[in-house]
Order: sequence, then structure tokens, then C-alpha cells
Amino acid sequence: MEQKTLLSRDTEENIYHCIKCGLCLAHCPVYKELLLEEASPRGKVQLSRCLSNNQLDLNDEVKEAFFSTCLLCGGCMANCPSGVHGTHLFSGIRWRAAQRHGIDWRKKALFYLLSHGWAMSGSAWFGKWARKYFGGPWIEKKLSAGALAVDRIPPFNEKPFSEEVQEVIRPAGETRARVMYFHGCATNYIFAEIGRAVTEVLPLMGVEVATPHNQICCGLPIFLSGDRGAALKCIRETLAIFARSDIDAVVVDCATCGAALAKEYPYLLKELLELGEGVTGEDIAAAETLAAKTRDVTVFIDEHKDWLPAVTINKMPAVKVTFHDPCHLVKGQKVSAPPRNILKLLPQVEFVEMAGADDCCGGGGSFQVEHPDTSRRITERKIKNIQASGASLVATCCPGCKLTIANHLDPNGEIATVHPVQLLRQALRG
Amino acid sequence: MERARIIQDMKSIVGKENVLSSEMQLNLYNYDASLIKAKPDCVVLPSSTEDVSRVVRYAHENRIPVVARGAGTNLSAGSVPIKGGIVLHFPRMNRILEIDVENQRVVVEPGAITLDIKNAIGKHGYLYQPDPASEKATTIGGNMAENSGGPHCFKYGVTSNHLLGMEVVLANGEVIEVGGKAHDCPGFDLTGILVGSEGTLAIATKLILRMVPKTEAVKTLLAIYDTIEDGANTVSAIIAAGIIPTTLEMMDNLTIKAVEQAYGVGFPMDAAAILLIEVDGLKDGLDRQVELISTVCRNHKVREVRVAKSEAERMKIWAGRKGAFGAVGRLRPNYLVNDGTVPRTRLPETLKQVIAIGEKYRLPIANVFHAGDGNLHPLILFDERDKDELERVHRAAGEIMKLCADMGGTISGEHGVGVEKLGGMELIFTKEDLRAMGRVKKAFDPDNIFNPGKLLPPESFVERNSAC
Amino acid sequence: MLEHQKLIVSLEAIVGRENLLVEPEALLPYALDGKTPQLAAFPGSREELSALVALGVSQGLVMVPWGGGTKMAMGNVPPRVDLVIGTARLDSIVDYDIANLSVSVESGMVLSRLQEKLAREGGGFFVPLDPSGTSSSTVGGIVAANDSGPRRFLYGTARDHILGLKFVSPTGKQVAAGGKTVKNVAGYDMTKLMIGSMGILGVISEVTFKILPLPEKQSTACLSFSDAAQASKMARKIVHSSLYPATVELLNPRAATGLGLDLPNAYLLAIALEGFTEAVERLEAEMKKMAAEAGAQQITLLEGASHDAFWTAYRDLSLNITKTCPEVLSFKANVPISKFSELASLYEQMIGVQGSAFAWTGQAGNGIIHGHLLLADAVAGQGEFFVSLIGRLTSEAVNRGGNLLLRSCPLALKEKLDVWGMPAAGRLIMRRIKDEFDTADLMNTGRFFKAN
Repeated sequence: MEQKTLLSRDTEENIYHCIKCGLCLAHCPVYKELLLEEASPRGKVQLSRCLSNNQLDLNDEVKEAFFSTCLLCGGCMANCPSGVHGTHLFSGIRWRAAQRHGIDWRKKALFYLLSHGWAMSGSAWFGKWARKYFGGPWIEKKLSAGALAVDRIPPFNEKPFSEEVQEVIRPAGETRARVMYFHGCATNYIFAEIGRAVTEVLPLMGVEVATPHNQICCGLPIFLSGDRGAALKCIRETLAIFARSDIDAVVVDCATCGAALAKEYPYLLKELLELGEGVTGEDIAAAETLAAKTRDVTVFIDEHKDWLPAVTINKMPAVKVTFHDPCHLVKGQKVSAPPRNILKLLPQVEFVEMAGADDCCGGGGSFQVEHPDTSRRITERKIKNIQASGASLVATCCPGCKLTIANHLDPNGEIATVHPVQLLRQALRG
Repeated sequence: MERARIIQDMKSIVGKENVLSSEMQLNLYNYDASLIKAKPDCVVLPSSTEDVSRVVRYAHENRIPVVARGAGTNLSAGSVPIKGGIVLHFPRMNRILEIDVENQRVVVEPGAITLDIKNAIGKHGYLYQPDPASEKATTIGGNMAENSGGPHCFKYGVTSNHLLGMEVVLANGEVIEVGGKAHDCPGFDLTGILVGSEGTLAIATKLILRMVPKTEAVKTLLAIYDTIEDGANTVSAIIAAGIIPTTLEMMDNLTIKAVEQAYGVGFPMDAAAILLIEVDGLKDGLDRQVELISTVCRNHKVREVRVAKSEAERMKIWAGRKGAFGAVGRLRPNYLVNDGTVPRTRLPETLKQVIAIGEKYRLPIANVFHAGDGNLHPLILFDERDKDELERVHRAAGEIMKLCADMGGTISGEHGVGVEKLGGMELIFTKEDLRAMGRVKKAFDPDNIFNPGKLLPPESFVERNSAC
Repeated sequence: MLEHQKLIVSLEAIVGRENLLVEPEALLPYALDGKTPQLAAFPGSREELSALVALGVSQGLVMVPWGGGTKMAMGNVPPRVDLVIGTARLDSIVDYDIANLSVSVESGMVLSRLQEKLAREGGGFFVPLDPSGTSSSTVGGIVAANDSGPRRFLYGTARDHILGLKFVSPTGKQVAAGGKTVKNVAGYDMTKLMIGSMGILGVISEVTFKILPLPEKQSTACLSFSDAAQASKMARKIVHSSLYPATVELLNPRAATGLGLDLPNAYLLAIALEGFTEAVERLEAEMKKMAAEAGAQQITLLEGASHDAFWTAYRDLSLNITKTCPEVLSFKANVPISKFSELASLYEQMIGVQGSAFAWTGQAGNGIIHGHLLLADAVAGQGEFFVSLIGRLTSEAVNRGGNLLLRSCPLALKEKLDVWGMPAAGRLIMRRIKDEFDTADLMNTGRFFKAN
């Protein structure tokens, strides 16, 4: 069980490149709330160093520091002048901690389902299970969903999106490109309307869209939670389906999945290869092929915006829209302009920038469920900025962020959350 | 005193939720941005002046060291508890207590982040001038303790020039106010002596800062040079021409490359040096100043002078400058930063010798510094895992410190003495000079509980004042 | 007497006979609050100064450092004065480094002499300090008393311009503080401690100033107002603007008449404008516009010689007042800037009731009021009244977050007061510093910390 090296050489090298300047403190949403060194990226790098040098035992307290005071949002990584990749380092420590201390049973069960495809277990069962996990009449009183208001978690799709979508949709006219569509779990199980928008808009641009029904979770949330075994299964299956050189692009509607496919797979697989975790050179070649093809759907649309049919003043009411940068898009993929460009294309949309648009929303997947106090404080800042912007719609490219933001916005208020492609679809429909 | 006992007593004084003492926690408060590490006995999170006072009174009665810590961005080990004891971690005492526009003062708690204060008063149209490169992370209490500078200090002065009063806790736990919102309080300038005292005299719990109306206009120039000497000579020439820019910053090629890699500012990778020059004031006459400066640059063989065309462009250049230290961290795992300051006319020869020292010890040195102030920051790059290299680094650093002293300068312009430069104090001060400082220490903290082992070589303090 | 003779011999050995005053008549000008010193010695070097202090300490002499003597009226009445240490001969330039914008001079150098020399250098340079007493104030005295003038609004005070200084500690040892670089955080900022320490921690022997290039253009907008409130309102507006003039100086009618300007008997706002030509021209236009809006009676722009003459007269105002009226009570009140005009008019009311003439000048942008009560013979038999008046004036300043100190005061009153106003909270620490430096309490004894 105990390993010689804690992490791969490249990942560990981050430890030694941290010059402890502390600039990351200003970019860490968790530190800014807790104001304790353990919450800071610098602190966690130094703890990693102690662990690596066997000066500190990876005990429960240390494990908690890596799990409960880090969103893995990448803010530190994106702003570290020395180029220290906090996310790789901290997720590595989480993995070792999970090996040592195990993973919460609920998470474990969720990962099992995600990695085996909920669809296969039947939609009816899925809906029941999910309601039980997140809420339901009796459980509402006993279990909370952390910072999320249980009664305001959106209803689950009647059936998973992958079961309703046509597997290949061809454009009416000339086919300009052929893409595969990777919809994340959130679209699959909760936000089917995002999937519908993507599969409607792309064909209107002359793009053939293939949506494999057997796709499963990208594995990143599982990976980041330390269950690398389950994550590797997801990664392999995703590569088997999507790592193809005969298509023009793999479009993704979720910032996290996009970051996984476009950026993280090759690095993570190389790390596992080095550590002898059963990864092959072929896996890495496939990951690199996929990484090169992957585009956030807004990036793809923005790159080919001349393919879009004319957008005219239409029935869509005039609306003021602001944009929230998901961490995994702006920090993880360095994408910030394309979604804004799409919004600015729409004649009925008045785009307004909010303060701190690229600040984390505080959700962090299961973080908001497990560490509600910290999460809630971060989210409240985001909500204030959204409200101050004067927008009545907040667009974002991550269903996770959408879930968190929508959950905290005043239920009686008039601010709704959407994916930019949903607005584009509305505009194109006329 | 036994550690367990201290922890137990601290818990009863400030509440157990405000005392950190696990092995993990102690490993998190044993460092700052310098190379020196030492663990405290425990960490206390104060939330009020009263907390600080009670902790200090206890420490005083039991002769336990107390080290105040802000964001821990210190570069000279000022916040490392080298003698153990209690670390007072201040970031949670971070309120901006009062923005007093009519009196042009802002009153803050020591844990407030410098940039947060600036942003808060910015909304009222006012500025706080000091701008340490780490301002987005550093606390104002830390700035006070180290008398932080920054690029704009060339024209506007350092923290000391903008901090007018404080509430401080003395070594016996007594709370007093020094200075105030008004200028010229009669008596000694206690505020002046406390600023930059590195936490060895008293602990601030409230600070009164001067804020000034925003300047009307600013122009930023980037001058690109093919030799470092031409850049250095330009610095003195600009001043000789009767112009006092707000900033005169310089970076050498190694730094330029690192910054470019980190920030993509648009600095030419092949330039030997760049000068970052900023002038501000009324918009009238500013263009002529820019032209005058450009002419001086041209007279010193500048390759190109660029003037920032927008605020966005200006911010980008500054992001590059402010992140320069960190960016250099990409080149090698560690660096040791010198902070020597020389009279600016001696910059060219000092730089030449710094380069020679680097060659002598086979160490890459990146230079990024406040040229207008003559405040050098040679960053000696190394990998601390290489013990031989580490040894050479320390010798090179010692030589650079001595070089600056020999040039008629000083060993630290803005980072403080801490532990790191203790050995350099005698390069610039006589035993009598140091003894005078020792007397100040003794008046404030006769039992040496505040940040012991910092700033003053031990012998200058222990000795009692004698008439011969 | 034998002891005295021995002392004279010892002092002669240090400074030479010609630099020693021993005759009572010769010592009269060095009397302090009626206490004539036994001796006055004028060292010619730091070494001599050091030896003098060491001798003074060994003999238990109460020593009083003396520069140009312009601020000797400050301080409480000393119990006794033994040895005056005059710095008049310590007046050379030690380091003259124009290219580095730094000059070091000995403490007996008269500031105006240095200014004249700097002005002639290249494009012209200056020390941005304009304290009172143009032709006689020495660098050491200015620094020890932390004196400043109207231009502090733009440039700050001694603490902002002094890079380093040297002093002879009360043990007779030479001590250096700071250096000659603009930034210097090595060790405690001992320079700051010495500035304003009133000669009780040692005798300043050398000062290193940061200098600045002379501005391209200078002028002064003199604006007269019939109403103090109008003038204050305009002053406030300037102080909170991005215009940054060099001075925002307000004078009451009694003070303004002392400047010899051909202006109506009115409140005068004197705004010095300095900088690049274009900026100064813009400022002139702005001042004219603002003054007209504020209801100024008269707007006069002083340039060249008239500008210089105005400010020289201004700096000498307090000295001239003291000369013309033998019984003057001068004070300096400091308050947060928003309380400046309120306090000034309150003082006018409080003092006006009494009937004595009251001249005041003030730095609206710094919250400093220099007040002069021209007592004539008013003080006779009214000691208690004035003690109480000063108490009330002080309370008003203290209640507004400031304080009040007496710069000069008739001896009869001084004996009943602490000239340093309300004791500061840090008084105890100050006392401890003093005790650490001057264990035998021989430097300016009783003048800062009132004897018992």
C-alpha cells in the first residue's frame, strides 16, 4: 500500500518550484474565506513537501486539508508566477489520501454509478436513487445537500439525455464538418435542454453531430476526489469512443469535461504510467489525439461563426446578460472570449461584464455538499456580483456552476441561468 | 515553559478554536518567503486588540517569544519564529474600520490586505501610494513591520511616509496610540521608529494611513536596451534632466524571458534590459515629459521606446513587473533575493560586479529592481537540493551585500534584515550605531519577547547602556 | 571656582580659547528662560563635539545644543543650564552628490545658505523644506525641532526628506543613522527618532537630505476673502482635488497685514503653484476660476521676485512678530484636516473676546495652525487667565484629535504650564527611550520632560 514515491516526478517538482511568495493567497477562493494557511495553495504545497520528505504523516487532519479546503478550481495554478501546478499536486495527494483513508460511501457509490453509466441501470431507477441521495420528502429533514437548497435542486431529466438524442444528426444542407458531442453527466441527467440546444444549433451551422449513446462520465470529478481506479475506467472508455482522428472535433458543453479531455488526460495518464498504475503508451497516444480534437462548444462555434445563419431581430425579448467564467474553462482551458463573443452576436442581448467574472462560484462539485459553510460564503460573493451587474440572465458554460448559481439566486428574483448556446438557439429559432 | 502548558493557557485566553497546535499546523507557520524555517509552539488567531493584549501580557509574564505574522510574504524571515513561541496570525483581523474622506485617512486592522484597502478607498477617488509587488496578498500590518516599498516609492516614498498613526500593544500588554489622524503630534516620532521595526518593538492592532486624491493622469513608457549599462545610465540621466518619474524600474534579460513566459506581456525576448518608466500628475505637460524622457533614452542608445496606449496595456506591463519574482521561480526551483541599495549613479558598476559575482560562483543571477531608488534585487537562482550550490549561493549573497555597502549603499532597501541579513548589519553600522538601536529595543521590549533574534545582532542589544 | 577654572581648561583643550564663551555678558544671549549658562562652547568638528559631550557627561553638566537660536523659546523652563553647545562652526558640506539627489551637511549649516548653493547647481535643486526663520535657522535646529513650512502640503516634512543623520549620543559617542539611499530598512529607522527629538537624545552633527530638481515654473495665487468661511471652503476644495499645489496656506487679516502686500484687510489664501510650465499655467487658470466662484475679493498672481519675496516674508513672519511685540505667545495647534477651519475660527472667537491681537496662519491641507497672541502688556496681572485660556485652547484641539504646543511664551506663564500640551499616550515609552539614551539626564534637562 505505501509507495516509494508519493507522486510522479513532474508533479513532485511543483513542490520545489514554489518559492512561497504567497501571491496564490489572493487567487484562492477558499483561503479568502478562511484566512488560514492550511486553506492556502502555498500551505498545501508546503504540506505536500513535508509529506514527500516524510516529515509529516498523511493523517486525517492533513487529508481534510486537501479535501475540505480546496476546490481544485485551478485559481492558484493559473496565477502562479512560478508555474506551480497546484491542481496536479493536490489531486495527487488526494489520491494517496484516499488510498490510505478510503472514500466516503456515498461518493464511492456515486463514482461507481458514474463510471458504469447510469443509463444502463435504467432511468426510472436512476431518478429514484438520485432523489434519495439529494433529497426527497423524508430525507430532506435528515440529510442536507450542504450549501445547496434541496428543494431548489432542479428535477432530474425524465430519462437521460443520451437516451432521447438521435445518435447522428445531419445538417439539412451541405456538411461543413463532422463532430462528436461529449455531453457531461449534468446534461445527461439534469440539464437536457443544453444538450438539445447544442444538437440543434450545430446542424444549423452545417455541422454533423454524432452523440454516442454509450458515453459515460469523463472521470475527472472522480479523479480529483482521489478514486483513480474508477476514474481510469472512465478515461479508458471515453478514449475508446472519442479518440478518433477521422472527425473534425469533439465538442463539449461542460467546462470540467472539456478540461479533462483537452488538457488533463495526457498528463494524468503519463503520471499513472510513471507510477506503474497499468497505463500504456497507447492510452497516452489516444489521449493526445483526443486532446487535440477537443473544443468547448462555444470555442467551436466562435471559430466557425461565419457558418451561422443570419441572426435577425426576433421574437426573443431584449435581455441584459452577464457571463460567469467557470474555473475549468477560464483557468483550466484558458478560454474566456469565445462564449462572450457568442453572446455579443445576439442582437437582443445586451452584454454586461460583472465584477469578478472569473472568481469561482464556490460549488466545486461535491465540495458544496461536504463543506457548505465555506462554499456558501464564496457563492454569496458571486451572487452579489451577479446582482450588481444589473443582468437578468447569467450565462455560463458549466452545468456545475449553473446548478450552484441558480440554487443561490433569489428564487423570487428574475435572474435566470443559461448556457450561451441555449440563447443562441433561441435567437436562431426566431 | 512547556509547550503543552502554553497551548492550554492560550486556549483559555482566546478560546480553543483560535489556537492551532497540531503537527500539521506548526508545519504551516514555520516559513515565509525566505529560505529559513522554524516551528512555533503554537499559533494564535486574534480577533481583537484585547486578544493581542492578553496574549502578549501572558507571554511577557512567562518570557515566551511572540511573532506577529500577516500573509507570510516576508523575504528576510521576519515572520519565522526562530526561537519558537507564539505566532500571532493576523489575516482574520482584516477590517477596514473607517474611510475618513474628509480627513484623508483610512483606519484599518493589521490583517487587511493592502490591495483591498486601495480598492476600497479607490471607490472614493483616493489613493494609498505604497505598492509592494505583493500587494494583492500582503497585509498592511506586514507592510508596516517591514516598511515596504514598491515601484512607486521613488516619487511617493515608502510605507513610513504614509502611515501616520497606530494603536499598538507594548511588550507588557499595554495598549497605546502613537501618532494619529493629525500631523505633528508632539514628542518623539514613535510611529516613525515602529514602522520597519520588524515586529521587535510592539505589535500594531490598528493603523491610520494617509490617502490622497487620485492623480489626474499617468503615462507609462517601456524603454528597450541592448546593453544593461545603457539602461542603467539612462536612470541617472533622466533625473539629471530635472524629471522625477513615479517609477524607474529595470529588468535584465533573464527576468524578461521569465516574465514573458509567465505573462506574455510583449517584452522583446532578446533585449538586454528594459526600463519601465512612469510619470504622473496633471495631464498638462505630461506629453512633454514623455518626450523629454524619450530623448534621454535615445541619447543612451535605446533600441525602442514604447508608450502604453491604454489602461489595459499599462496593467499588463505592471502585472509582468509585479509577478517578476515569481516568474523567475520558473527558471530554477529556488532563488535568494538580495535587497541591497546603492546610490543610483553607482548602478552601472554595481551591476557589472553583481554579474561578475554570479560568474565567479557559477550561479545564474536575474536582475529586476527599482533602478530609480538604486534598490537592486539580484535573484540568485539555484536548487536547494544541491548542497554545494546552496553553499555557493550564500557566499555570493554575502558578497553582493558587501558590494552594496562598499558602494556607499545599504544592505536592505525594503525587505528588512530579519535573520537573513543580520550578518550584514556590521557592514554598514558601527557598534555604536547598533548600540543606539539596542537602546530603543530595550526601552520598548526589555525582556526581548517580540520577534527575538531578528533585526539586531545579539550583542548590540544585550549590553547595558554605559557611559564609556 | 576652582572647579569652574578646571572645566574651562578642559574645554579649551577641546575647542580652543577662541571658541569658548566664559564671560557672563558674552553668555547673556544664550540665556534660556532667564537661566544663563556657565559656559558656551563651539566645536569645530564632530570629534570636538563628541569630546565636549563626553566631558559634559563626566562632569555632570546640563548641556543645551544651540544652532541659530531661532527655536530656543520652545521647551519648558530648564532647572539649570551649564553648557551650551553651539553648532555654528559645524557648517560645512560633507557630501555633495547632486547626481544622486543627496547632500550631507553639518548641522550648523544655515538652510538658506545650502538652498542658495543648490539653486545655482545645473538646472537648480533644492531641499523641499521651508521652515520659519529664513536667514538664521540651521539644519540641526530645524531637524531637532521638526520645523516645517507651507510647502509641506506637496512635499512633506523632514521625516520625508532626510535620508540619514549623524549625532553624538549623550555618552559622547558618534552615531550614524540611515544612509544616503532613498530606501533603507536596515535596522531601526533611527533618523525618524531623532527628527523632532528636541536635542534630548543627543546633538545632531550631520544631516543627509534628499534634494529635488527645482520646478520649471513657480507662482503664487494670492486670494483675499472678506469671510474666513469662504476661504476655508475653497481651501477644502483644493485639498480634495487632484491639483496638488505646493501650499494651501490661510492667513487671518492680522497675519496678512504683516506681509506687506497691497491687499485689503482680509483673509488671505496663498496657493503656491509649482511644476512643469504647462501644469502651472493650468493651475493658475483653475485657481482664478475657483477663486471667482468662491467669492474672492481680489486675485493676485505673484511671479518671479514678488513670489520669492512673499514667501521669504512669510517664513519670517513669526520672528518679525516676536520682534515687534516683546510679549508674544506663539503656539502651534495640530488637528485632523477637516477640523482646521472650525478650530481656527473658534480660536479667533475665544481669543478675540479677550481683546488681544491674534494673528494666525495655517496649513489647511495639513491641519496646522500657527497662532500668535500679541500680548503687549496684557499679561501683567492676568497670569491665571492666560494659563486657563491656553488650557482651553489645548482642550479644543485635543477634543478634535489634535494637540497644542507653545513655541514661545512669556516666562511668567511658562513656569505654570507644560508647553508640550496634553501628554501623549506614548509618553512613558518616550521617557524610557530618553532614559536609555541619556542615563544621567543631562541633555536639555527639563525642557521636554518637565522637571518633576
